[in-house]
Amino acid sequence: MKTCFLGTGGYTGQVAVRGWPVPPEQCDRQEAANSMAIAIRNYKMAEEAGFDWISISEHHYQPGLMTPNPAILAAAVSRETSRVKIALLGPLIPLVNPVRTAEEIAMLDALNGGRTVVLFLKGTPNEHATYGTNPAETREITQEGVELILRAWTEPQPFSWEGRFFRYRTVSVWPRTVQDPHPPVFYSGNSEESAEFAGRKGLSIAIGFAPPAKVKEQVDIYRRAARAAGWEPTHDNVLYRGRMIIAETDSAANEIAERVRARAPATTPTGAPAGAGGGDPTAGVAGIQFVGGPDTVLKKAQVLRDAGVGILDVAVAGGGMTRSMELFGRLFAPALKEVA
Amino acid sequence: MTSVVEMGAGPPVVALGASFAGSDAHRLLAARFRVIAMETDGDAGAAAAQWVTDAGLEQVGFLGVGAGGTDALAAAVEVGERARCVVLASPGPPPDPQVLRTPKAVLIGTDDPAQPPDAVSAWRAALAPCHVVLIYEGGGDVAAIRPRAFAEAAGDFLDRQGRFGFASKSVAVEPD
Repeated sequence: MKTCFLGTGGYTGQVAVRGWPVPPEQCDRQEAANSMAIAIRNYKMAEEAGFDWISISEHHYQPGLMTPNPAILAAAVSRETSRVKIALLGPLIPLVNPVRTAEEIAMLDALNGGRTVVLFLKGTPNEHATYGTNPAETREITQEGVELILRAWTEPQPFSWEGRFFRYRTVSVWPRTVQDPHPPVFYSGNSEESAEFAGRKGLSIAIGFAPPAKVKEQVDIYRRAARAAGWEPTHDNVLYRGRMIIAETDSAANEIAERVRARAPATTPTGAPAGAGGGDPTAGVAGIQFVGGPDTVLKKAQVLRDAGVGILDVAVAGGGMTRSMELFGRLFAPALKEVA
Repeated sequence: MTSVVEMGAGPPVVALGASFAGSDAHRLLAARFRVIAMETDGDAGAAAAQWVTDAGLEQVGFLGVGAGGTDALAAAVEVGERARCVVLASPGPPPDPQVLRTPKAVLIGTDDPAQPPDAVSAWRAALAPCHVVLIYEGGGDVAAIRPRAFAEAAGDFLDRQGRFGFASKSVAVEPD
């Protein structure tokens, strides 16, 4: 099983007001710079600890996940790492110019020598207020945007696009992605409709924070759609996102988890209810998916593997980031690779 | 026998192809152009060229819908410099390369089963130079399935050809 370190690019300073949006006056300018340096350091540690991928998501107007353009942080991380896949999980298509996103990701793939992975999402409800997106249209916008990006990466000649939501009279993306025909593309697998779309279009899927039985249901829907479209997904086509609290023993991990739960706010930094799931990477605060020592975590990973998951994208905590990475690298990473 | 259905006012456009006359696509395009939809039992390209000559038109755009694409190209060749441009909508698979200096655009659905996987490159090679416009979910008949998208793209090209790539509508929140 592959593992992916879910970093946050989170603000390292103190913030008095939570919710969304958080007023910019609470952001200390030097602390912002420090936050980015810490984020990059954490990603480097993740590579050294044995993670196969690192992931960066897109969120806006708040300090917990301070990556409104994940490609920028990914570019910096690309130059500080050499082995890990750099996963944008992911650009929020209703909020972006898809052709510009295709260009940015192609640049990123050139910068990191073809280590890019991407997950296209429609965003959490509060984020549709960022640039005035109509929430009722986000699914259709995302589906069209994904098709446009794939065309922009694969058409060898200039073309025009007349969509329902996007119109471009000239599309001719430079540079091309290093990966041929393009980086691996994931799509949300959280709903029946999105899992079916991904299977039909030949995309991989990402499922966030769901219990294993629900994961299996979604993977089954996805596989059926893929088979109907003439292809067979593997475990590497299914990513699961969750939170992981680790220690050398179950009791030590449970103690850390209790402290985390005690200070968890009622809502996530993006404004969603804690534990809401969906595409919000912070939404598992109230329900941490992996808590335990190596044996317990491996058993849970095996259950997900049996449900069809091949990549675990996890926010890891275990008593400080340095300690967590040391633990993960020593006790968890080698064992998780053997989960099959 | 030739039937002619005219709608709209403005620069003339001769449209060739079955089922276009009187359609939503015809009506929408007629908001900007005088659209003369012709159907004939015989050589539609020659008939259209003759009609343009008889009408004394000095400049005309040609639109070929479906199988009418071949006729529209033939008519443009026939009238020479009087052809302002040619637009083909869901014209079927790309033909062998041909030389026609008149500005050209090809509109095809992203899910058109008649198009090869390399449709963009193939059309650009067949009618070089030409614009290829992908109509999202336009199927095998963009004029019928996405008439507004068809009318926007075809209309802008018929109107502006070389400046097709530039927006003509203001994006100001308050344009006035």
